Amino acid sequence: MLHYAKFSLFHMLTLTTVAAMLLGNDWIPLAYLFITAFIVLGDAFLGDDTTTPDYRYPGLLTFQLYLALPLLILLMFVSLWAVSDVDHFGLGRLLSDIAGYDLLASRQLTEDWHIVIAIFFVGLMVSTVGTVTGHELVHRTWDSTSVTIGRWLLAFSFDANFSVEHVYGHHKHVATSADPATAPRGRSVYRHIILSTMKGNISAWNIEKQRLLRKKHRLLSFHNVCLRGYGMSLILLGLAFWMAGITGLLFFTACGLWAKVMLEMTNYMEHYGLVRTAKSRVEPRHSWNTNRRISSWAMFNLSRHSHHHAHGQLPFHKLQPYPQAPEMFSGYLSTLLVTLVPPLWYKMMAPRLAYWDEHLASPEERRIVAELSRK
Amino acid sequence: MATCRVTLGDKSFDLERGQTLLDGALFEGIDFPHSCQIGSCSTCKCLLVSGQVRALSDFDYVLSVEEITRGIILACQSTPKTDLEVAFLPDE
Repeated sequence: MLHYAKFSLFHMLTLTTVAAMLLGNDWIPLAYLFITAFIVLGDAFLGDDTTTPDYRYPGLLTFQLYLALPLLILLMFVSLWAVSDVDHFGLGRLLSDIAGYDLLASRQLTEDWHIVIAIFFVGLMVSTVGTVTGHELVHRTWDSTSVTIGRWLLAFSFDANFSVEHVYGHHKHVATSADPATAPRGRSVYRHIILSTMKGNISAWNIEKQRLLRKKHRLLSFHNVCLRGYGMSLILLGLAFWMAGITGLLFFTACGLWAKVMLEMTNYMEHYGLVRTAKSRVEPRHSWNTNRRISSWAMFNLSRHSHHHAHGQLPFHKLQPYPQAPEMFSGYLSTLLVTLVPPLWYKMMAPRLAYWDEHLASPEERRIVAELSRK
Repeated sequence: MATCRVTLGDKSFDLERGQTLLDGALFEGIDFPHSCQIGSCSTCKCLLVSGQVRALSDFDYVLSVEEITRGIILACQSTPKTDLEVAFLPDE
């Protein structure tokens, strides 16, 4: 039972965020600090989860994934309520009566700096609940319900078209120079965020354009999955504006962009500096892996990234820990924080890359590394 | 689970209904060319000579109309609906 329950960790974290946004003012930074510390320290001290249970009821796991969408809608609704002056649907009054705590008065005490923190806090959760879960669901190309829910989850970070680029672009080109999401050695995370976002969107558009040409559909039509993806985010922006005016629009945009930034930081660390020839098979060595417990639980085994890329069709609960794969120094959030300080990041990655070159790379890959280092 | 019979050159093997052609071939020890395993790289494309498959992803992202019309499929994204006869493609 624990093996099902452990994947409810992000549901708990989301509900904690919802509570903090309802309470407002100092609860927002306090809860953000608590959740960040819980994830970082949990990964540092609680060790690895390398279990591979045989799940008899995978439908329960899928249901947990689907719950991400109502949870994310609830979180964004409450967050927009928190930054507006209106008590939508009498939410604040109703909950105040139930809890015996005046949430409307508490909201009045929320200052601008609380809202700035809230952008990073809610953005973190959009990234965890929306992007990570969306990633898992858009891989299930055989099931339109999963793909649709996944794309809506990704639309919160303006990235529904990740469903095209990631599946048909990134997985094909991973660890080669043709992949927008793979960062070459020496590129900073800041540069990668800009480049990968721009090139990723262009790549999705080109992949979709090719499909439409083959299908003999017009580029500017409802058949265009990318146009529909941008439209989904516009609908969400419209709802944010309807709920909280220009403040709501700006708040939603900032949270979504921060979540997108976090995705690109994740791409950055997942394949940093790794190389592959275009014609060789994708192997576990082409991704950085971690089996840290909290990252694995909160992110539906996305952390088992080596197996994910080597066998991209497998649902998350069938991924193996691959302890022999190239390993990150800690869990996802801890590693993300290190990428923010490029000199520290390069220093920490240097021995890992040296080991990769010497012990894991193929002769052809070693030749590419040598060639790139001469440039 | 019901199985279908797959013929590939001079080899034949059983494939479960939900199992991909690539998985079945690899399980049989056949050296089937493959890479990404999610229908994006087209390394595993092969010719469906007879039978019907269910496509797990949209082949239009990867295969041309001519290829699809010729009966080319992606082994990593095809599960059997009937018995299958499949052939490797000559090196292009």
